[in-house]
Parts: sequence; structure tokens; C-alpha cells
Amino acid sequence: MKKSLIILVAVVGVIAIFIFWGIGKYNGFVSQEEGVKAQWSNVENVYQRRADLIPNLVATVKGYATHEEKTLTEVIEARAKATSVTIDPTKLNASNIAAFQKAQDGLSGALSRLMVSVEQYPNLKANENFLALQSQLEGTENRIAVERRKYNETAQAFNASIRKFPANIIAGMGSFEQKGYFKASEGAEKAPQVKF
Amino acid sequence: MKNIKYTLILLLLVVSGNIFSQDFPKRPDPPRLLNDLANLLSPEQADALERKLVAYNDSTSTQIAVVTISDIKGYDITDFTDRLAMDWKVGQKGINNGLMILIVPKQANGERGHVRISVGYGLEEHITDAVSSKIINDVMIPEFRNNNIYGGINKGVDVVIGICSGTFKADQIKKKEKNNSWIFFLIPLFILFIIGFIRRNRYSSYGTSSSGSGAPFIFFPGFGGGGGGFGSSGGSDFGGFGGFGGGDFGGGGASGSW
Repeated sequence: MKKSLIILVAVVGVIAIFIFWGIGKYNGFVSQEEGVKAQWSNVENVYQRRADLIPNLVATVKGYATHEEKTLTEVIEARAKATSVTIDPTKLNASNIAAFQKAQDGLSGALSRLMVSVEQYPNLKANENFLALQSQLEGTENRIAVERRKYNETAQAFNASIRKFPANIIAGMGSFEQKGYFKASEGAEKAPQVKF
Repeated sequence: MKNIKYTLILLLLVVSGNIFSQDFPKRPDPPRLLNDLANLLSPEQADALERKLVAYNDSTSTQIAVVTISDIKGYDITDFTDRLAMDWKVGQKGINNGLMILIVPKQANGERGHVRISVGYGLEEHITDAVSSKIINDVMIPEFRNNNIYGGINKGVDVVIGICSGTFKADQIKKKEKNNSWIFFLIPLFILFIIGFIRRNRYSSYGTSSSGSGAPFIFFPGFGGGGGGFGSSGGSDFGGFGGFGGGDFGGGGASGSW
């Protein structure tokens, strides 16, 4: 009678320890996942910041660069495409991030073609407004690089902790999913070099 | 195949982590706001600049770190400065009012000099990218072109201080920190101590005091340790620069070359 009671107490004790450990882990995952989501919104903010600069940039360039209709249209179209792709922050998986990145990279490409083509308009390059926009655009591209790197770091820390044994049991029960990463595209890991 | 890919990525992360610690100068100890690693300034100039930066930090808690360095190991200056500022954690934690000005002088082989202003999150609305770019191109680089490194840095710092003045107040931040730590440490400890004391008195008369009597003695050493911590952190505020505060950066600022 007494022996079975001790065993019962021990079993209940072990289960209780496991449950408390599990709760601790689960809550840890929740706050870590919130951290990833918060960082994701930083990423979206800096991309939005870039999108917000474009109408002003296009208007300024239009006034000087009369033969760049095609390049400008490309930028406007790429911007529309990029802003139409958004991700539900609860579904930050690899394929969603890849789609988001593809749309944004399209805009990066169109913008850099525009910035190259305006090189041949000295009047535009002397324009105060354009210079300010140019430094804002460069700063924003740099912010994008920084926030993306920070996102990858937080996502990597989250993925590592939900995959580690035995915490992965809890992660499986709570259906925590791995987060996707930004891939380095054509040397985008380092911020683009600014040349004058 | 997939495993190989992951291993490679992991290896890359490990290797790049090691590279990071080698490429970037360590956080100065004792802490300093001016770090003339490239020896561009005379001792008097360095002293005057350090004093100005410390005084500004004391009165506003805004931390302006100035670094000169002759080799950035092939990094782009923007990337290098952002990473260094994040690594040193310039600015106060939570409000991120840090700023780093980094200067790479002209090299003997004729390579151009570079300068970068990295702006912490909290200062971004005042020192915008366009403002940073103007400070660099209109204030600092003209002096650098005349080989007046000190003049360029000094004028640039003055403009930054002028724009930021009135944004943050130091006493506000310090008071908040102290209030938080004292109250949050003392009240629970005090309550626990009282509870333990009462329980000990109540149970001791029945002779089963084992659990009750432990409490006050367990909590006493914790109390002492907490008190010690405040002493050391408070002391660092006096005489010179107290250290970087945990500020974060998001890539704001501008760069230029001459």
C-alpha cells in the first residue's frame, strides 16, 4: 500500500516537472516567435519606406530625364508589384519569404537601372532635391540590408531552438514552424557600395 | 544533399563569426567616446574632443562615438560602421540615441579617404539620411580635403550636437533607471523577509521550525548581493565616460569619400 503510494507520488512528480518544463519552453518559444514577428515588421517598414520614396523620385527624374520613359515605367510597375506582395506574419515560411524577396528584388533591379541611366543628366545630378532623394534612397537600401540581416539572425535563433531535442517535442505539440530566411542575392549581403 | 547545404551554411556562420571578432576593434576599455585608432589627432586635440563628447553625453545621454581607423579589412565603410556601432552598442538601451562617426584616412597608395555617420534608431528623425549626407559633404569633407582632420571632425560633431540638442535629457533617463531597480529589488525582498520572520516565530513555539527558519537566512545573502550591484553601477557615472549603454542601429546615416 505504502510502496505504491510512493511510486504514484514519484510518477506524478516527474510528470509535474515535465509539464512545468514544457510550459517554460512553450512560453519561451512564444516570446521568441513574437521577436521574429517584430523584426519582420521592421523589415516591412524599411521596404515600405523605399516604396514611399519612389513617387517623389519618379516625379523629380521625369522633369529632367526626358528619354527615360521606359525605365521610369519599369520602376513604377515594379513598385506596384512589390507593394502587392505582403506576408501574414504568422506564416513566415520559406516559400512566402522567397516570393516577397523576389518581388522586392525586382524593384531593386529597376531602381538601380534608373540610377545608372540618370548618370547622363548633369542638370539632374546637380538638383538639390534629387541629391536629397538619392541619399535617402541609399540610406534606405542600407536599412533594408541591416533589417534583413537582423531578421535572419532572429529567425535562425528561433529555428535552432525549436529543432533542438528535447525541446522540439514541445515545439511540435505547439505546432511552431520554422521561419524562412532571406537569401543573399547577387552580393546583397554587403550593402551596395555608394560611388560619386 | 540538403544536409550538406545546412552544414555549409553552419560552417559559414561559424567562420564569419570568427572573422567578425578579428576584423573589428574591441570595445574600448576603459570606455572612451573618441577612439583615434589611426592616430590622426594630436593628444591635445584628442583630449578636447573627448571632453566635448563626454560633456554632451553627461548632459543629454546622447552618445556620439568618433572612430578613426586606417584599415577596414575590405568592408564597405557603411557596413563596417553599422556593424561596429551595433557591436559597441553606442547609445542608451531602449531609446537608441547613439551615433557613430567613422573616418578612414587617405592611404599612402593614393586610395581615397572615407567617412560615415551611422545613426541610431532614436536619432533617425533628427539626423536623417539627407542631413547626414549634408554634414559629410558640406561640413566635414571640405576640411578633410585641406588635411584638417581635427577641424572636420570637430565641426561635424558641433553640427550633430546642434541638431540633437533638446531631444533627450540625461537626468530623466538616469532617474528612471534608478527608481526601477531599487523598487523592484527591495519591495519583494522586504515582503519575503517579513513573511519568513513571521513564520519562524509562529512555528518555533511548536518545535517544527525547519522550513520556516530557513527563509530569512536564504534571503539575506541575496539582499546583500543586490545592494553591491547598485554601488558599482552608480559609481561609473562620475569622472570620464561611463560606457556605452546598449543602443541599437538600423542602418540610418550616410557615407562619403574624398
